[in-house]
Amino acid sequence: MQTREREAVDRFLSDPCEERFSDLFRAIAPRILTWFRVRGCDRSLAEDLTQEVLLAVFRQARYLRNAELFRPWLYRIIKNALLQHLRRTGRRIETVQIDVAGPGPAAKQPDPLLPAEFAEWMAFLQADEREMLMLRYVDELEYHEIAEALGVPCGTVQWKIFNAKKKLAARFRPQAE
Amino acid sequence: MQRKNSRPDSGRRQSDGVAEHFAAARWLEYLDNPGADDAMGSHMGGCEKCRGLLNSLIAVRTQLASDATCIRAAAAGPGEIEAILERCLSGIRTGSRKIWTAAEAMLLLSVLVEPICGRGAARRTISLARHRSTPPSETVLSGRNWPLFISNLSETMTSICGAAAGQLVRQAGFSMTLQEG
Repeated sequence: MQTREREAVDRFLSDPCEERFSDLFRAIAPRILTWFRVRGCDRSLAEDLTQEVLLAVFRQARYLRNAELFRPWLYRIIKNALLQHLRRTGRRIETVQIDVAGPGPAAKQPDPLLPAEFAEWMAFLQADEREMLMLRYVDELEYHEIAEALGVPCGTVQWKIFNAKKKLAARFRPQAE
Repeated sequence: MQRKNSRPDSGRRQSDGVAEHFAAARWLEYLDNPGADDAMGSHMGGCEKCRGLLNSLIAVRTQLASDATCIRAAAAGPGEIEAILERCLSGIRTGSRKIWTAAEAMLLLSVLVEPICGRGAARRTISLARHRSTPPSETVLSGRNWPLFISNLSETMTSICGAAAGQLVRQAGFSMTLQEG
């Protein structure tokens, strides 16, 4: 966890007042917004869900006893917020087009948020590998935090990330700078 | 610093049949911090296959990290974050969430639990959970011991009526905010 974020978390958990919540908000809200956007939510929906998540953080933080578990706890809230939204709306949300197939008549415009190459790489991976790589690189979680957030052993996370990188290396052969 | 085995890990073999001299965890650790594993570093000097794999993994990592930085930068600007924060603080200040007294919260939980296991069992279950959650000097529930009370009640409901009932109690209990003190 980055130092600024870590400090904001510790300060807020020790005294969950509005001022400290605002500091925490500024430290983690961009990450949460990115999480929703990368998973296909449009900007407006991502903002609403981010607000919902951070309200839940404000209200439930006193039930969190171990600050070390903040990030896995946060990512479970984020995931649940999206699932609840899907249940509420009763349909699948518009997802980002990450298929590499050429554009057909019904093909959606790719999300400008995702670089084309990144989208292509993610589309090549299996869903669990994609999720783990996104948590690792976009959300910058440690391996043990990914394991906590997804409820799988840390060794499984490491193995899948390692394997996913090897698959990407074999398929796309990027050149080291 | 943890001692590293100077020999390659034995018996590592991938599904694609390519021999792999170190475990995934050790590879990842080495990629993040090459200086921390001298044994692996010296192995890289002599093993062309591992060196090739290392270079390709570094290239993948570099590309992923670079793309991720762009994504994070594009996803949200500071103005946008401040606007969401204002809305969030406004939601907190309007106090849309009700603060329950312990008596109100217990009554609500009773109403939830009674149809599941009957009035008598509900009373005894709630009484047992309260007894387990408060120290001998205290008899009243508060915001401080409410989480423990809900955990105990959920556990008992799970053992009597099954996991779904326990989960229901847990979710209902934790959705309520109790007065402190």
